[in-house]
Amino acid sequence: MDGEDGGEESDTAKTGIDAGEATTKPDRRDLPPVLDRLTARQFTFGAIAGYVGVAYVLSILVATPLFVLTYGYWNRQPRWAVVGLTVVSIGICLLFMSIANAPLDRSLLFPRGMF
Amino acid sequence: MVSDAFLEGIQIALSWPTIGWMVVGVLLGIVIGAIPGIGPNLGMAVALPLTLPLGGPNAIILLVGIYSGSMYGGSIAAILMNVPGTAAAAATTFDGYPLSRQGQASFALSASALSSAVAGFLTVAALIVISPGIVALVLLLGSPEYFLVAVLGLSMITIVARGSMVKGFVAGAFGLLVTTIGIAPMSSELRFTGGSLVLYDGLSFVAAILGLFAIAEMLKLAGEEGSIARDEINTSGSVLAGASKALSKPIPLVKSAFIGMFIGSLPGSGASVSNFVAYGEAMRSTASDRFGNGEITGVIAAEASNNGTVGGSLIPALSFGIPGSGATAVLLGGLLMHGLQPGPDLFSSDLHLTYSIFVALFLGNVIILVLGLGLITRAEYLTRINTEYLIPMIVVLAVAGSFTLRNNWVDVATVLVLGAIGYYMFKHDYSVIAFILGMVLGPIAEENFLRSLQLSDGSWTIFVASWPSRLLVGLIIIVLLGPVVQNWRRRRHAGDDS
Repeated sequence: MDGEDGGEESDTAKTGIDAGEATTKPDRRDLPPVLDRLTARQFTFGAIAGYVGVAYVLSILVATPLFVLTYGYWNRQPRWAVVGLTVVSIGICLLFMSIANAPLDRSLLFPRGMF
Repeated sequence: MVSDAFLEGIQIALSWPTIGWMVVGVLLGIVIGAIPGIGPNLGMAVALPLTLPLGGPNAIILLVGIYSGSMYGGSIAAILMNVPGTAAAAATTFDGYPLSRQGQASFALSASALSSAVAGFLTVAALIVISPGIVALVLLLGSPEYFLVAVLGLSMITIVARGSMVKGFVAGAFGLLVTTIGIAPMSSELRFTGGSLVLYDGLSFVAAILGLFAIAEMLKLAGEEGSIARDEINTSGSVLAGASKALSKPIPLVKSAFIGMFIGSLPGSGASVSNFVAYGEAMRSTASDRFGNGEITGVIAAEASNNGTVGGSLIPALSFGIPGSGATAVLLGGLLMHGLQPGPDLFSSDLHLTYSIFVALFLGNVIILVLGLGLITRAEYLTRINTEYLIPMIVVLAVAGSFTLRNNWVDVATVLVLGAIGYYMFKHDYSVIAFILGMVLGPIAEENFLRSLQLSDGSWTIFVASWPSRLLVGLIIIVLLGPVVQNWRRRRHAGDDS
């Protein structure tokens, strides 16, 4: 069943593209060697875990742009894309805060919120 | 009662802003379906937390719109790039892409939009017609029968878990175990909370879905590079000719729609199965040697079946809380999140809501037709979105969305941990759907089991006391023994051959 709708035999598995892991990319910007040795999946999981960790300490509102910037930088995305995605990600947080009253500015260091 | 509820359902579905949410849902669904790598599961999962401020009906109608729209959207990438946007459109590539190569992309896309919409109309109309029967059946069941229905759903793991049965059961058992965290039903006993107050309510099903469908999918996508679009894409061909061609093939269209509906109504099946079955049936019943080289009947059959599946899959999901597919599991998450319990309530006091979903789905097909035909010349842009840009956005939606659910960090941690587990489950062929079955049906089974034993003063005969119970016990035995008998017959045939 799963496949339909995605399930486990994911849609991506059926896309017909090379599912091999992208490890290193052409050097256009210098990255710390430790980071550049990571596979895309290792980096993505590490970045998500770091995002959650920083969000717990400093709040999701602060951690979100940091995560998007780091992800874009590691993936050597063009600057306009990194800036655009960062702005959109802050917009997503503000959307949750305004329509769902989610206290995304609260954290371990700011238990009562930043604003 | 049924007719009053139906009229009230029409009123809800046609009211503002409900109808607006339906349009938004279908439009989002088409976009989500058209981007290879994103599917209805993921699209619906990340939309779930955003539906919190909406009322129950609006939220569910939005999710159903995404589900329905993505079924058509999947055909856009399938026809233009030979890459199915969703697995439900895999069979569409067989004839859709050759038509595109022959300069008939618009012809194929319009035939796909019309087949999807007409199949949607027919199957939802059939669903509305048979719904009084479903209502009668659902209201016939009490706690013992609901326990048995939940066990029947759990035994479906033998069907969903393709490959290793043991891995299927392990995944299902893990899902069951996860639901035991928190306060036990029918008592005040605390289980596996570690003294933490935030675990008293257990783990959030929606957070689990966000982890399994959003984070795990993103980890999978992260290993792939950039946009999947390749080659020059042109959307030439006649839009009107495609639509009228689809109408000139009523038999494969209607047959495929109901094949989709039937397969969708079986727990453990879905559009990924129905589009191949309908395509095969179209090949068998149509005298044409053009299948695989641009036979439009192939596109019509595949697309009619996957939209037909949507209506069918709502039957087990809304009646018994059994998800037939990943997308219906997310839909169930939406129902639970908005305080709507699948089962008798949705077919008695909340029957009008159930009808509003059916009517909205019916209207959604008009939107698919209008948007589908209107967007054809712009469809290629949807297939050019770079997945590398989508990953951080979906992660942000999942993390911020999970925190929004109950404003606690346990849900965020659930998303992270189950995202990693979900990725490894995919990598090592453990069934994610079996895990979800365990998570959805565990609490239903436990609560109804305890309630039944209270009603019978501890006598287990309550589980075979009525004819529906005996029928369900029989079905459970058949489903559990099915793979054993199948293996035995296979071995016997192999013995005969040698």
